[in-house]
Amino acid sequence: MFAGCHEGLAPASASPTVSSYGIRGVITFKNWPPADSVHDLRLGILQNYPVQDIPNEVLQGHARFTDRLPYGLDSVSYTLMLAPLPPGRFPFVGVAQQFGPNIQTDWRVVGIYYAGGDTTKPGAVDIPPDSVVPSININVDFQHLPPQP
Amino acid sequence: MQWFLLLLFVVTFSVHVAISQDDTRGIVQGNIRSADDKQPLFGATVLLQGTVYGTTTDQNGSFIMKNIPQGSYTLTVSMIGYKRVLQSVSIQRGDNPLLAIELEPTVIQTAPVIVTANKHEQSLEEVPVSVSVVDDRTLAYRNAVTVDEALRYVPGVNITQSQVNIRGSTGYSYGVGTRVLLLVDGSPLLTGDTGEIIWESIPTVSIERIEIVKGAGSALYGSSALGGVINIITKRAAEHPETRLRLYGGVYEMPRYSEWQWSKDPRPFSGIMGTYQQHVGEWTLGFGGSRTVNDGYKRNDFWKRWNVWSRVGYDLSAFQSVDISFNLLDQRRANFLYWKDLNHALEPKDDQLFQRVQSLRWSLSGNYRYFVSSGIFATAKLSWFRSRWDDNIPNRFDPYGSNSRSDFLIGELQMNYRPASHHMVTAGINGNFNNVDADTIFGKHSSIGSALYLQDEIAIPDSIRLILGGRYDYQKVEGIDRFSQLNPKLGLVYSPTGSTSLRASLGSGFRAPSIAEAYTTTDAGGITILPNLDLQPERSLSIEIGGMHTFGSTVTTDLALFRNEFWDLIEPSFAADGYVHFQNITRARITGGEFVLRLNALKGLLPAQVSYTYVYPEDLTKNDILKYRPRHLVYVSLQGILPPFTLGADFRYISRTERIDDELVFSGTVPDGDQRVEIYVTDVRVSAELRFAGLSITSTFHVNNLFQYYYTDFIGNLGPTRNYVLSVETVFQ
Repeated sequence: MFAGCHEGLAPASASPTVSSYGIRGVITFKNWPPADSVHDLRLGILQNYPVQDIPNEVLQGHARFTDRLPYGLDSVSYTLMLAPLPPGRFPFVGVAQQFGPNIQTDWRVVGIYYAGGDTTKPGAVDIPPDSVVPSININVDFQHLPPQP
Repeated sequence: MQWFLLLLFVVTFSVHVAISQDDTRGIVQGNIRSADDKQPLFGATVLLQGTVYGTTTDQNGSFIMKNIPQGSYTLTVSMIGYKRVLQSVSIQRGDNPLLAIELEPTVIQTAPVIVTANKHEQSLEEVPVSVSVVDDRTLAYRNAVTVDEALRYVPGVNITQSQVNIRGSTGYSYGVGTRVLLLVDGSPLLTGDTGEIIWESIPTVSIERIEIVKGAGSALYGSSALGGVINIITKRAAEHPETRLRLYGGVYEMPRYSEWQWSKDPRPFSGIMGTYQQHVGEWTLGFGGSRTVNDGYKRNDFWKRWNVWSRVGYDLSAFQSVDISFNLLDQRRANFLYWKDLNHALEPKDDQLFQRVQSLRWSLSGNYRYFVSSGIFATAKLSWFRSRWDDNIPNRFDPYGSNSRSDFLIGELQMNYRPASHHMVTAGINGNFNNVDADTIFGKHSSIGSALYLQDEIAIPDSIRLILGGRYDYQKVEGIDRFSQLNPKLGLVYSPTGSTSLRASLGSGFRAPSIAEAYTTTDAGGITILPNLDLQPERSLSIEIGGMHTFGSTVTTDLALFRNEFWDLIEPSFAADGYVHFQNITRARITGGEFVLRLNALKGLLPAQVSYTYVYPEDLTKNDILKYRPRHLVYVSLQGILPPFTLGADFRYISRTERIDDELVFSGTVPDGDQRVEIYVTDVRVSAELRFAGLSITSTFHVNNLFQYYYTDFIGNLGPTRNYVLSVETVFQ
């Protein structure tokens, strides 16, 4: 009777061509700073790298992040599903810390995924459909931060 | 509580002994029927004007009032859907002749008498502002478990989660400070800490009607009445004992998409509610309670509630009465803040899965009424609202969760003086005290305030009614500069014919910052919120012109044009220090119009209402649209009555919310939080009403969200999925 033809919102993965894919691994931590300087801590994956404006990449939907990572642990395992981003090559995986109160500007990279022992540049990850790529491991040493992108 | 009860007792007793009792009393009784089909009218209100005496008719349309002092009175009979009747009666000692009164049906499907607009009883056509009314039959008809559910089809009103918007006034204020004032029998019922409305604390079975006054109302009611006033009128006992019982049960259908199916089975909900009311001599007694549970269509969104309600009244004389009301809510609920993401739209983030909130809230109020003479009526009110809640939601300031206890006390003296039949003066004095004890989240703070108000209402001649008034408020919140506020009010009603009335009004409003807005210290979703002691009150100015016209006996139209100006609206926002504070940052303007069409075809067998509200909500500070204010609201309600069956359908269209909190999306706090659509929801029901041997049974089958339409009613919160409900209500008399 009333506008029944609309169905409203639907899951982003409702399309039959989209399936479960992502990355998983372990993050190890050393030399934690005081808790009041860790406002937030997340693992993120970028579709494009390098980029000039990471917040804009996020707003444009070209990145995915985990939930907030817990403070003070020696290591934590994670799984990050990437939908609605399409599968493919992701050139950057890293851990970012919000070190100050300003949620828009007070961020820095504290750990980067490197592939094949090459620590000169971030390691790219190829993620096929229907696959969660394992062993995307990252070491975070808060006293020895990687080069900032 | 002891001193409160003692005070009520002293007032009651001292007045009682001061009044000499008159032994020469009589009985007035009668029968009320519909003028068109001569059927008895159940639930009509019968009042002796200028006295405390009043009752409602039983299922046979009969009423009786005993112990009435001899004399001449005016009897008022009113009922929704019928024209009010005034009839002179002369009461003699003992029994008096049976009155037979017939009411003419009217197309106006609302209460013929309201009290909220000007703090005294008057007809809807006599008020200069837009007013809507929801009666107890509608509450039962829609199986409204909480009051906000009953407001979803009121013209110009929409609900964002549980926060009420009247013509876009409130938006969404995160549960700290409503811009619509809630009253219960004329007394404010807002929590002392957050200044919010707790809908579930008012059991719907205790309600006679709900009056919704649109536009600023601080000239009579003070703080929080920026966008409007909602007044809940509770039931008074009839002369005959009445027991009312309502049971309901239902399930939410599984969502269409497998990604959203977090539960193996459909989620159930159920409830039982009951009331008992009786008149015993000079006493009126009313008791009630309910147990309601809802497993939630969203994961970790269940709740369980106990409600207890009582109202005890005593007629000290023909002209004085006192009553005491008590409400209690005991609630346990889980916490669903935002969805995990659109692919898990009915599941919260994992860290919310074990979050729980428990609350115990009660209110106690006393009300003394005194008809000093035929032209002077005085009331004294005292109310106390205790709110306590605890949660286990950790934050950086308290890893074990938060808790708060608040006590909000309000006292008011009011006098209505009618020097002539066309002239009414209303004056009053008000005081309030608020104390909050909340550990870390709000701290320990208090506030105090007082107010004076005066209003003059005069008809010159009968076709023109002029209202002029104002209220002066003083408020002091601990730690914040004291402030005072003068709110004027001007209204005009012109009734050139019996079927047309034109109205115009101007009024201002304000809202004092709540203690929560001033002192909140917590973090949520990685965002830290800290106090701001520089807060000032919000202010508003409302202008409305409108008119109502009735075409014959089947069509009524109402058109209103309005503009609301707002200054210093308080919103949470990032400050220069990088933390979030509640701040006076928004200058806003809401302009719009509202059209309501009511039909009453086939002699009331096909009632219908269509309303359209348009608002243009401007954020003048950011030169943008205000957050959480949809521009278009369309509500359609249809009924088909084929005794004993009634078919009904309600439809609501709410346009897509244009602006939300983008920061929550940007920060990743609410993944896919920008996903939202316009709302199209259709609810249908069929009911059957059977009566025999003094027993009335009404069974109703509801299908809500018939077309399983998925929408968000707030950022990251999917609205209810299709659900099926069977409700049964019985009335014993």
